[in-house]
Amino acid sequence: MGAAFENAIDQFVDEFVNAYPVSFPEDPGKVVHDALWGTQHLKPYEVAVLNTPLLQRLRGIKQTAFSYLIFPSATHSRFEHTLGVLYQSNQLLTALSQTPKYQKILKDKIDLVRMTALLHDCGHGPFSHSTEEIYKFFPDMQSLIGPGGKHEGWTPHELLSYYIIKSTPFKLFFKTVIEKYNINIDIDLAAELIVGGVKDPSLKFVQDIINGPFDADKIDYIFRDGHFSGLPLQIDLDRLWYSVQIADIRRPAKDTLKMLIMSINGMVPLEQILFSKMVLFTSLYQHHKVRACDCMLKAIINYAKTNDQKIGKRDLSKTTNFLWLTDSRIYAEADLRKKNDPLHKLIHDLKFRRLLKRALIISKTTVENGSSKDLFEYSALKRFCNDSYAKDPELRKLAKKIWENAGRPCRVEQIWVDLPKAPPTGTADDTYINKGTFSKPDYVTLKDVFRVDDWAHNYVEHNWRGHVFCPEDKDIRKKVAISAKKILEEEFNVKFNKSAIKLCKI
Amino acid sequence: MASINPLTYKNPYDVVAAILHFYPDNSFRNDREEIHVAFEKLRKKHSKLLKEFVFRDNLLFPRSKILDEVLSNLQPEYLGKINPTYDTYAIKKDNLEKFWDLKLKKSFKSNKTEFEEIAKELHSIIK
Repeated sequence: MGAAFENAIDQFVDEFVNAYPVSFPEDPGKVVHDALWGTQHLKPYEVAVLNTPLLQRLRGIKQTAFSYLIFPSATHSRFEHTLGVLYQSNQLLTALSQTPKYQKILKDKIDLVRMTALLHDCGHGPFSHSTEEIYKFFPDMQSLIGPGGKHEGWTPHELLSYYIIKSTPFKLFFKTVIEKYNINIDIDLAAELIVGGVKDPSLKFVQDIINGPFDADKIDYIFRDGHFSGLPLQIDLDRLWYSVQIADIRRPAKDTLKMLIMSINGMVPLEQILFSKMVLFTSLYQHHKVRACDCMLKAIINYAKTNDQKIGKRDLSKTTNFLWLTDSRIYAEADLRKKNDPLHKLIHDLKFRRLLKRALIISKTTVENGSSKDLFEYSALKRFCNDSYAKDPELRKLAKKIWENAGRPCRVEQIWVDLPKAPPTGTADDTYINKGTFSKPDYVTLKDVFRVDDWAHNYVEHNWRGHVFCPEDKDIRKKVAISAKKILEEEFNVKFNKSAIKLCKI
Repeated sequence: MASINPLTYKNPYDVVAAILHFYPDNSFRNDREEIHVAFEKLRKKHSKLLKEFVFRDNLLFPRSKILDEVLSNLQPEYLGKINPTYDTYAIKKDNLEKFWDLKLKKSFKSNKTEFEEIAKELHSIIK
């Protein structure tokens, strides 16, 4: 599997980096304007990398996938986010450079960090995390990141970025860039920084700028996703930049790490980052209509795979094939198929926003408490809210039962049980705070000061919703609602109250 | 999707619930690093039951997203954090007893001894 995966990556990179003439701009590079951060300057060699189809393709991948169908202005792309991460990593570097003590260790890291920022999302496929949630359970991906895999526990799109950068065709291209511009960037190290796997403990702070608890990626996506969806979120960036420090963190029986940390004055922006992330999850990423879209995408991919159908001339049972596609290429498949083709219908419904609707809501407030000896509370329904490869197949079995019990009122691909996983927390363990002074530091973890993650967990817990989705037709929704309630009550020993169906406004 | 072998697959939610059911105490310290390190160690010994707890080892400490998710999902019915400091997890033994009797006992009947062993070992590490 490993060699086949690497060969497929090589083919993709060859096509998206080396197959067409590359432009190598001269000084002074380019100035780029961004609606969020304003103007930034890109060095000529950065423009050369940015000009490759490998990064230009990110213009065709929406940052927040289907959110734009619910929040109409959330049409921003991975490309814009990439430039935003470049800007924010530069801001962090600039802020750190204000401290004379750091200037020496930063000097030869600036070009590396900026290049890493540019490349950090090059492994994203169409609809960003929405396809990632699907292909991460494919056998080729699981053989790498699943139990016993070479890269157990890695994040799929980061792994793809890593493999792309480490590929022979990319290195060939980058060697030309290095020679042409006489620069010194360790591209292997850039790949390590993206996956958070840097081995040299003295470089942990460099990794933290790209992949850490308050990294440039988070700062950009929180602001960008919030701004373009219309959710007013605030992080006191001036305070954050002012409070950032580099420190040697000594840990018992472990390496001393040179880490990016925050002075105690930076607690507020840290809390704002975490809280904003939670708000984005509950209001945007896990909005019930966004989740319905994700289910519709799963239906498309599942149908194509089960029926040996290609999308964009690609067999979507292989992870690497997603890299060849963009959002519009998936939508275009509807136009290439006849109207009676189920794949046309599935894609056309998503493209033109004929979305699945809620038939049942699963939440703390729609499930009775488990005071009876035979009943559980709603937690029992969260049995599948984890990143296990078994989750989707098990939930499909449930959906099929609901569909059959409802009298098969529609296509089975139109019934979904959706139990989203909780947003990742853990920032408090990874973030070090200097609660002393600059000259007499006293380092503790954020959780030692304030258990902000646990506090955020309660917020998420309160807002978590699972759903059963089905087509919009009222008769179908009524049948599915009754069936879903019955099946889930039987399977999970829970009892839904009236709100579970009533709040769906059928 | 990867295929599931129903003979070997154990839902991580059920696995942690079973361990907590046999845990020889009513509470344990809410120290994420300690808990993850302990589970990673136990996984090496009890590789079949803990197989699904995929660990990432290139971070500050080995950690498993699935373990985080399960500890989150077991709340509030089977696990709670004691306010106001959240320093301690309280195990809701009565609810776990009900979960074991109604659901877990059937699927884990051949693993009972091993779960008891894991629970004891976990207790000796994290307390």
